[in-house]
Amino acid sequence: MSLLSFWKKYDQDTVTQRILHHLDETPDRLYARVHAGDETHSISYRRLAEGAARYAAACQLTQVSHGDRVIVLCDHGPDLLYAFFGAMFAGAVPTILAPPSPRQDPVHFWRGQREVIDRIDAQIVFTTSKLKTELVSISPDFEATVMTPAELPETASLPVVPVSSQEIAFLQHSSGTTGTKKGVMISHAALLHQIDAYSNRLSLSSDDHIVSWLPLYHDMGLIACCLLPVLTGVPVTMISPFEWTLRPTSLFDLIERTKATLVWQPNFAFQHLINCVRHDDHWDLSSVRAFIDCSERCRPETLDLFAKTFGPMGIQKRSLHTCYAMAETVFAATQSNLDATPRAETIDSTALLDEGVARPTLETHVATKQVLSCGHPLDGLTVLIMDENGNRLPDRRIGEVCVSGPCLARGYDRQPDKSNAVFREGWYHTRDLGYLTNGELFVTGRLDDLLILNGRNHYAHDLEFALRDTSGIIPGRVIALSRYRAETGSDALIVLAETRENDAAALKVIKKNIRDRMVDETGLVPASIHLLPPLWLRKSTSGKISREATLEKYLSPDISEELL
Amino acid sequence: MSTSLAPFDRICTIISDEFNCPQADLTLSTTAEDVDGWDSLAHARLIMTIEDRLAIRFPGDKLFDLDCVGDLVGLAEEALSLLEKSTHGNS
Repeated sequence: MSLLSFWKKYDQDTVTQRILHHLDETPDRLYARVHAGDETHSISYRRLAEGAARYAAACQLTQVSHGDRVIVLCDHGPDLLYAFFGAMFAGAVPTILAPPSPRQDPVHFWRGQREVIDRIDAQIVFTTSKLKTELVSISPDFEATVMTPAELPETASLPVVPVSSQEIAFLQHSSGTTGTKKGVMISHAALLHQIDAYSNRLSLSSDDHIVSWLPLYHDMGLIACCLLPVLTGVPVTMISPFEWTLRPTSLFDLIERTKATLVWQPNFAFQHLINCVRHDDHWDLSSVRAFIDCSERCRPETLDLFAKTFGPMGIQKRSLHTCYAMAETVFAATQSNLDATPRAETIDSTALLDEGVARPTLETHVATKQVLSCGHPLDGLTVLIMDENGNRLPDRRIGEVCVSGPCLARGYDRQPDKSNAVFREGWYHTRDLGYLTNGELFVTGRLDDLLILNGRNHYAHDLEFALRDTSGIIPGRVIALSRYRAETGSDALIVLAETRENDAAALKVIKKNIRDRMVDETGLVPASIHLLPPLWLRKSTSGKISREATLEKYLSPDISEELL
Repeated sequence: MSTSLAPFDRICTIISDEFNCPQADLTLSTTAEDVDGWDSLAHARLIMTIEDRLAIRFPGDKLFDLDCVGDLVGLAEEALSLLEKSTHGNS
């Protein structure tokens, strides 16, 4: 299809128009079953329209105009969906932000969010009464209207403000703290192309049922487990991420009960399920035709172990799949073929590092690395590997993964410099490293200091900034690293900091200060904190602390005695 | 909070094993933030290990309100007491 015909196809097609179509055709069809605490909410298209109507009316009452921004900052539950879609029906541009984790200090949370909230410049914030109280007390000068469910107007009439397919449908905020959080601008046309192309790749049908524990402030949760269902009519059953974390096998209870067919989750979640199952547990998981590993590096060893552990419960190796996705391409750029097991390659890790080539080798070779295929690009998308000068690289050469096509975001909201750095000449430069072979993508690493922890992206410098004035450490002499841990299936956060302190009791206090500060500012818990004498951290030739050289020193076997 | 020594000691042994931290450092007021690596995923594994070793099941809704080791011990004592009552009831 030519670009022109693509735009024509989606000219009158928007998210709200498609939901209205389902509302007309099958108003009582189940869209979502939301488990929240002891309650279960069954949401049909009619119920969704009724719930969204009150939020849309609130937008209109507060003079929210076409294209104005609306922040949705709610806990898991039906109001999260009603607020998001209600704002969209009112012609506004909603964005879902992550609420504070139960362990985060409210003052630190709001201080971290304030810059992002100010940048979004929303006219209205839909939130809970608890968060409203915190926001108003911590930021008395906050100008936008802050509204809780109890304050919404009573109406069942859904206003529909016409929008064009080229307008922004919503902002998808990336994770990270203040400085690096970016609002990815997704148009109706880009979203609908993604939904159509991805549905086609997955061969979605009326027999499908999605179950999810994913948060909706993350692109995987929002696109695959909220928008894909509402736009295609495939029902979804949701539980809260918090509940899933404590009782991960609750996902299996839901799969068995709903005969679910599709599940998306990051690699660490596969490992968490493996870690939290008892030998005498049993569920019938045979209904699932695809568990899709996504949002952090897909590890072949994790999927192998998952298949082995849950094989007796009906999980087959060919029902475990991979996807390469990011908010900047709405969601999926590539997806493995559901009819076959994703291919794993054994490559020569010396050639990978020294020559930048993915050379297949035997597993018995002295230095190897296993890489899992992420599949082929979705229809309409092109994936290329480029060198640092933007030249296309041939098959098996390692370079930056770049994506082009109609699913590309419009850039980052009100951050033109950051947009221009990665959206260039019709290509999104992902900063991921990888290679192609016969159109199949394999991801091998990162170009920058992004740490991917439990499926969420965090920039190392952002985490180091959070510790900048922690009492007891030498200012500027702190570094955040990550190391893969097979037992969790994800990278773990390691903090190395220099101190002049020697006293054991004082060192213990400094470690606690670092841990508290990291949790308060970012919600992350470091797996290890090491305090080191002055000048332990390695510098690069430019005089800056070198993450790579320090990691190398940290991993060297003779250094463990120096770590406190 | 009423606690007998036995569940406290057993739970501290489990925490010490799970997070490789000195058992002597653990008190009733120790929180997850005080222990390296005690994040929400590790917490889920810890709960499961305690349930297995003490042969109890924690009520799901109360798992969200645990702030410190003392709360965990208190909840384990409740579960053990219920278990004891049901065992006596059946005998």
